[in-house]
Amino acid sequence: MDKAQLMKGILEGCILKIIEQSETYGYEIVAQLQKNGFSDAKEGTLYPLLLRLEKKELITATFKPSALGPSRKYYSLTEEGGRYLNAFYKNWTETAESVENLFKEESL
Amino acid sequence: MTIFTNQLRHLEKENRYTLKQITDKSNRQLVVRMVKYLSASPLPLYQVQVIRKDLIGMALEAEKEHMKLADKIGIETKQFCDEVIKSSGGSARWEHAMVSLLTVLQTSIIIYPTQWLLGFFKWTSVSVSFAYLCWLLIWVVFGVFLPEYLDRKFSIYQNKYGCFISYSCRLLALLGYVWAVCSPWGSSVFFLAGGWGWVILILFVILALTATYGMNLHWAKCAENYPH
Repeated sequence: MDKAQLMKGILEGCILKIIEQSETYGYEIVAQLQKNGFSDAKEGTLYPLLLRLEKKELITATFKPSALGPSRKYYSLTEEGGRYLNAFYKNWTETAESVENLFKEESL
Repeated sequence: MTIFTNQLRHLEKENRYTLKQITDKSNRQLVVRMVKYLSASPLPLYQVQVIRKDLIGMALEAEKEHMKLADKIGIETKQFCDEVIKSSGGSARWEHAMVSLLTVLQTSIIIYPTQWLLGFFKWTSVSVSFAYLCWLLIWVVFGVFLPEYLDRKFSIYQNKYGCFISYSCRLLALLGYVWAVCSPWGSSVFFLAGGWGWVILILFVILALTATYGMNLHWAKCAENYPH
């Protein structure tokens, strides 16, 4: 089963959730995703998603100087991003419940 | 003043400087190859430089983590670049065309009076000749822009085919240009300016200045839209 297609839609919502908690940067977002079970998450999958979210104006990016080296790009959630996140979670909960019900029925 | 500052060149210069801070040669070469490939796409040129800045940042962080950039990205390089192009969306081919046109105009300011000053191709007065049109079409399009585009498009594959094709194009274009100039109609003149050569030159200068300042305003607007 091609997990990638399933993950594409889900990861955007998860990334927004991580950014909602605090202003953060790419490496930290990948670490958070991996910590929460998304072991396949890499910067290569994350970066295009961040570009897409930025293009949709769901997040904004600013460069901040870093003590350890080059300035880092920090992402923060916009108001529109907050609304999108709420809608994502609502849709996710409904879909997950429906799938769960279907599989429960079958097992009965 | 905004029209005298080219924000795109400013960002390119900054990126060139930071690129040198990448000590690992393979990481540096990977960044260069990816940016070349992205430059051949319809992405806006300013956005390519912003992405370049991000990739350089990623490479520097990879070095601090004692990783290769390719491992940090974690997926195949071409796939990554194609995803970036798809995610960024939009087509700015018109922008690429404008920059190319500007390059041609700026080069004409040098070529045109040089031909007149040196008595090139044995003209006794300033003109728009068959040879000049051949330079414009054959050499500029097939000898410069097309090979550059092919070289960038193939850069992602880390093989020599792109280089080979691009140099072959340049050689064919050069041969075509030389043939056109040496041919019987090489010195044919389509438009003889007579004593009005300075008018044509001033027209080129005005067009080039207008295009340059217009593009500078465009880059200034891009700088406002993209954080860097």
